Amino acid sequence: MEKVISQAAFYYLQAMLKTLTCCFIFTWSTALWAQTEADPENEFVPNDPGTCLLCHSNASIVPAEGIMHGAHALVGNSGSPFAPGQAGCQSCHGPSAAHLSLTSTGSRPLPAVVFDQRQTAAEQDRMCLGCHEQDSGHFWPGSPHEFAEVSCSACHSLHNTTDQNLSLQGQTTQCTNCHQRQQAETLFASSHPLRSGQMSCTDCHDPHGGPGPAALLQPTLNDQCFQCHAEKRGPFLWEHAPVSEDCSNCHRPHGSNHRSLLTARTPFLCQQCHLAPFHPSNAESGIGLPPVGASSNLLGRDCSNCHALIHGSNHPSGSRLTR
Amino acid sequence: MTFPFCHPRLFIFLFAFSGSHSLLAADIEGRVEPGISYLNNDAYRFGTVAGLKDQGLTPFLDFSLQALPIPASGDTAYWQVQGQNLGLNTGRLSLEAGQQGTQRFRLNYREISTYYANDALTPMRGAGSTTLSLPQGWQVSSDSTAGMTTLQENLVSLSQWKQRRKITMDYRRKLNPNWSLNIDFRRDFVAGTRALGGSTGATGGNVRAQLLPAPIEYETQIAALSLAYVGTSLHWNMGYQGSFFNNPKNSLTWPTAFGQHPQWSPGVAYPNGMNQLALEPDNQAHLLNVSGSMVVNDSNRLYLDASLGRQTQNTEFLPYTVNSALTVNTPLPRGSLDGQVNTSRLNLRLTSRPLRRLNLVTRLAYRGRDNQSPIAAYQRVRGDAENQQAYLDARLNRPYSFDETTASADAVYRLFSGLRLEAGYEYSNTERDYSEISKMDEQSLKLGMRSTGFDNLAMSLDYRLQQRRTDDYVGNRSLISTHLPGSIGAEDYENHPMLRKYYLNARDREQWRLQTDWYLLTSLSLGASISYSSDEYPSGYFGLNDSSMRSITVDVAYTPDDHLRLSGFINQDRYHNKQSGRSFRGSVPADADNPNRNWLVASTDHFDTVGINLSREQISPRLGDWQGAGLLDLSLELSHSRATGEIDNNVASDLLSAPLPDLDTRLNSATLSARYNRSERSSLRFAVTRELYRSSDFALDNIAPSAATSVLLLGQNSPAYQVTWTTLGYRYQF
Repeated sequence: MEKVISQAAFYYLQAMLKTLTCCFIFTWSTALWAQTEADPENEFVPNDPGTCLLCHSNASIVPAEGIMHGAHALVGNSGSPFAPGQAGCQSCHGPSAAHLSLTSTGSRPLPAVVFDQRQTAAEQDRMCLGCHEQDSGHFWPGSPHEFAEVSCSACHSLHNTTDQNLSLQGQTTQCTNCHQRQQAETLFASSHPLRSGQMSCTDCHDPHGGPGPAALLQPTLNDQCFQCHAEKRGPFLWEHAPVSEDCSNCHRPHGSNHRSLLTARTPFLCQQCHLAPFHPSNAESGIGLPPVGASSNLLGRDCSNCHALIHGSNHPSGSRLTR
Repeated sequence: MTFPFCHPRLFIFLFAFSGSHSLLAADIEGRVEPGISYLNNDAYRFGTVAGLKDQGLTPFLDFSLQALPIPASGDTAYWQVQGQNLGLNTGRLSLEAGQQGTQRFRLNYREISTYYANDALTPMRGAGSTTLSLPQGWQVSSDSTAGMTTLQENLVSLSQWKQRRKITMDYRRKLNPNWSLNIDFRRDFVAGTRALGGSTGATGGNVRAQLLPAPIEYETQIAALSLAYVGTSLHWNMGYQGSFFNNPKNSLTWPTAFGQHPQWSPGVAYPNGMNQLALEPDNQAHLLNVSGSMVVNDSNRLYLDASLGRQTQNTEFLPYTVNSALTVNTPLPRGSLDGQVNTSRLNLRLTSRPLRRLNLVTRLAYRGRDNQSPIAAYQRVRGDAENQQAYLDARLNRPYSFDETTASADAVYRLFSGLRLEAGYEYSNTERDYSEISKMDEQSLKLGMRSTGFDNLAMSLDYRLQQRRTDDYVGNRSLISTHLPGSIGAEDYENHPMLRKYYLNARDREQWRLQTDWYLLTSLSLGASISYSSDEYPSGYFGLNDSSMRSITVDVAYTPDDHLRLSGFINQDRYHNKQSGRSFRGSVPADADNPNRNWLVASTDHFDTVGINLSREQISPRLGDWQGAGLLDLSLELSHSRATGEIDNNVASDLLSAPLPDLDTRLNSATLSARYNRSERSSLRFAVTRELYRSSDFALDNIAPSAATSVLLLGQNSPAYQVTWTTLGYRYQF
């Protein structure tokens, strides 16, 4: 019963919100229409895109013809800016009749919306999100890129026939244009295979924002790592506490000079948390290396020469993660 | 590589899926580029980068085929098939079909190969299987590697590698203007061989270990289904994701290669001693998630994102020991763990614009991990080397759980056009069980400034101060919780009482970052970024004492015209850790209080990286009197990466120390590629890559398998190669 009531309340709330929104949109639209009537700057260019392409062909200084050969030009898709009833180029650039004229100084007024620094990122993005909110917008508000005012057009080029971001390699190139430190890390001795193009940034991150930290696709860092490394998920009989909590306690995901993307060299990384009698607390140094010595805590895989199941063990005798 | 989806029915399906009679009328276009590549040297590790590692010629194929509707025709159906590096171990195949704006189906296949080393040596036979053996004629004369009298003649080479084959499928359908459906499926299959330590013995000086060739054979299947609604003021999305991990090789059994140790029970050493460890068990994870957003009013929008998950694992336990010579009187307390972890997460986010110049984002978040796995006492057989422990020596498993709650607020204020100020505050609280601390609080303050007010200069500055505090650190809490009541004293400890684990310790963190972008010309930009992070832990304790990170990046981009582009960056990172400890022996109680047994390690990783890209397109080639009819595209990529790990040891008067060699890695890579476009339809591509890689690692280099007395090593050296990779291809477009 309680569930039914809560559902009813939910639908009621939804209906109320929709009604309020409709009223708001109606009022706003009416006001805008009235304003349009009175303001010649809000007039649309007729014969869009034909008129626009007279000046913006591929041979022009500001080419835009490429869009007519890409996904946005499919008039059969009712959501396309060039579909019947839509405003063509002005679906995104806004009413731009004034752009056809010249000012007294001989310059040409800009279209209503231009996708560069002359308008804020939010103003630009509003045009894109009008159609693509379902694709990209859900985690977009408040996401790292939105907060840093990285606009849609900073990464996407609509006037080209194809978007390079649709290919794995293209995505990585796009991201590393700004995230150059991460690009450098792909060249480190231990890194994920981004350099070879077998992974891309978007295998883990959603540039439009995601449910996890750092715009990860999964809700938590560990959930993200387990997408490919499910063998480390467990639950194990004998857990290693920092593993269960956060992979980044020991690993640096973008690159490291140490094996398995570790944050520091073992055995010293292990000794940051393990200081038990005898070998765990040994002062490991060059005297453990040939020809002076041969410490099993330094050679080979050091600690994991014995404690091999470092992410957890399911063996009943494996409490020391050696089984 | 294999192509699991290359089947005629698939293409029939693609046509049927996309629809369409009209589609067949659309232009089908594509390109095919067969090629051949030549590697001048065997270079095992280079295979990770290039997909080929053996000297010689390797053919490969790139292709793409697509049918796109004519924009003005009204059609929206399309399909495309692409293949890349087919023939190499980095092959990729993708198919996509759909109707623009209505539905989309994608199928992708890719291979990710990692080649670690092929110069390892082992006496073990049966690499890749779950049961290893020693060769006929194996002889031992003592409990050390020196006593393996027939080791050298019985060593065989071992390659360590991993190949992931990943198939993903997703289908998206817009059910009506508001509703859409998403179905995703993914299957990962990972195969390979890795080095895994296997030990015999349990305590004191009686542990002997071998690095074993262990099999990798993982399969993970992930299925996800979600339904989304987008309305005028309300959006929501509800979904389910199931992940199923399967490891058919979940144990590894091997014979003891050492002779009898006096502390071992009879029958543990060669030739009768056998050992077994558990490889990763099968497991499942299920996640239900819901997210949504609602327009509250003109300036406020509320977002909800929540999920409930369950991770389970119920693989049958292996026996306490596989060594039949050892006595086991008490059976396992359970047949399997029947492990279950429940996870929950809730994020609430409110974005507001209370003033025209002010934006606010406030968040409330909760994340919980509740490990419901049953606790039992396990009377172990330690290291397959002694009889089963008595009941009071049993160990209890510890199902770790924690809860984390976070509240934060971020504000942006546009002071005037081109200048904005940012500020943020975050508070988080974490509670754990079975841990040295039970409560942890962390506060974070952020300040930032971004300026775009100048025509050709953009600048940002960010500062963050974090303070983490905990309740009392009880160093032996986790030890006591794993022992049966009465079997351990309240003051007993394992880790030194003055140790503080870094991830559970109080910490002061300071971070700042300065970034500038200078647009000197329309075609020329310069950028610089400096970031610094410093962590400090309370003084007077062992463990990690402080750490810092400094990163400097400078970049340039020069694009004088559409056909010439030069870009490059220089990056320098430095990571520094300082940690301390005290070397103490359980048999000498005074050691634990003796400061003359203290040690200090300061380690620094230096990274210097340079990357340069130069491309020039549409060149009219000319050589003397010869003038090419086509156009030439040229590109040059240069990469240099150098990493040095320095480890400095300092010890007090009762200890001895000697310097450790640096850990070095060098990578130099240059690729020159040229594409000669003979006509609009055909082109020739030539590329040559010269790559040098070398590294040094004191744990590997010139260390013989028998170098350590108690561990049988693999005798491998750190990787190095020097190769020239030449590629020639011919592309035809239609």
